[in-house]
Amino acid sequence: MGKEQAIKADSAKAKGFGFAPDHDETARLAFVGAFKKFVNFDIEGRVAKLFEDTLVPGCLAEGKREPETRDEAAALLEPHPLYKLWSSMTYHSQNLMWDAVQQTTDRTIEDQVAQYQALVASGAAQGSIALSDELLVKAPVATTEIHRQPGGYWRERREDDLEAALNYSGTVELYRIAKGMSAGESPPDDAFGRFVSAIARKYAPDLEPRSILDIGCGTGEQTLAYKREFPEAEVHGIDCARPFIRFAHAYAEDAGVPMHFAEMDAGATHFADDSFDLIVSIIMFHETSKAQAQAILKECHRLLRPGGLALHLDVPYQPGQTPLVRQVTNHWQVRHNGEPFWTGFAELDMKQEAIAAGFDPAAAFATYESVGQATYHFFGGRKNS
Amino acid sequence: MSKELPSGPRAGDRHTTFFDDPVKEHLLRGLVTVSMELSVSRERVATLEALLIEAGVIESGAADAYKPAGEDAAHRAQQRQKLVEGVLGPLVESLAEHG
Repeated sequence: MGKEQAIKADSAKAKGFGFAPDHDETARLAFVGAFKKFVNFDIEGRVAKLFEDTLVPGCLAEGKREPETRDEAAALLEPHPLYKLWSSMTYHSQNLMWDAVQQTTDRTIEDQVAQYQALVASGAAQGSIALSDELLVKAPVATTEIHRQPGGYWRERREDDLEAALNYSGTVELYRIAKGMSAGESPPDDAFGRFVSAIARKYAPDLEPRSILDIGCGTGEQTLAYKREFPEAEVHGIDCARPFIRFAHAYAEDAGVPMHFAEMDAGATHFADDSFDLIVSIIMFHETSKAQAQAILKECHRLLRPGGLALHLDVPYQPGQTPLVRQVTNHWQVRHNGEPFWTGFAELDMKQEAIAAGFDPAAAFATYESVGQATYHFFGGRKNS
Repeated sequence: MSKELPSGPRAGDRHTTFFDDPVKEHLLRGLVTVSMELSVSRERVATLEALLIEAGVIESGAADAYKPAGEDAAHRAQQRQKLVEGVLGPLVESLAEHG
């Protein structure tokens, strides 16, 4: 019990290790967050109103029928100057964001790497890290700068580099502001992981996981939540990007939470059959491909113990859920924001994908759950006991 | 260092434009970037003022009540003029020479 309390009490932002902007860098990031929020809500909202109030009625007045598909809506929207403004400002906001986080990273990276190296050299870690020279990073992560992050997820510029993860970590709070999820006080850094834990309890109230796997764990900031929420469980995080695994290991150790991180392909892990009771992921599947998504779900089914739960969170932009204008602005991400599988993922029926991967149709699911104002797509299944 | 470091994916374009006139579009983006830096400077000044008041160095409202005079006022006027000329001067020259 004492251990559990100690872990929960340590949920505040880790000190010493991690993304730490100074005064002006914080102000710059706050501006980019406000700018992104304006682009996402005000400009995009005005684009949606223009579509409904002007462009569609204009179409009908010319004797044409109302646009019914994303391509038809795009043909109406794309020539309009307001849509061009939305495109330009969305694009620029992403440039500003990466430039802003890079300033903090450039100022702190040598110290962060030194902290990581000292941790590894000390042999004092409570958890573990395993890197793999055999792992081949696959497309699209191999070939695309996802979210247009300069250098992508796996570029290394110095020995024991973790720059890619440090930059990525710096954008998380900014995205919360930009999506209207952060009003005033910041939520805890592991809020997403806690949300997924709550949904796991809702979907499998009888499950008391002894071992948990977080796939595509990235910086590991969310992975920590599973140890805090299920203190008796052994928690593992895997990712194909080495800088992120290094970052996750150092971040968890700095937070005093014992975790096990490994560089691994989520579709072909090194774990034995029936290794985990709970397998989770957060906004990872849309950064894979159709073939990889199926391979990863198959791997989840193989790795789960009977009665175990696979629970994945991703973006909620399935066409049936999403107005036409939003489908157009979402599809823009494919061409201009380094998200090649964004639309492909949205158009997949993830319940059918889970069934095809081996989950019982009665135990597979694809649902929506909300936290605050935001809604997310959940999918996966429970392995038959 | 002996081994080669992973290079990452091919670098994507950072300068895609969407309007017919890329020059105007970059000017608009530049304006947003300058607004960002203005916002950063404002926050810096607000922080410094708050710290000075907190430390008892100045009283609340002292900055608003301050009236530049003499050499200080002259220096400020000179800097102001230089900034206006720096921003608009080249455009004036260019239009005068090339129409």
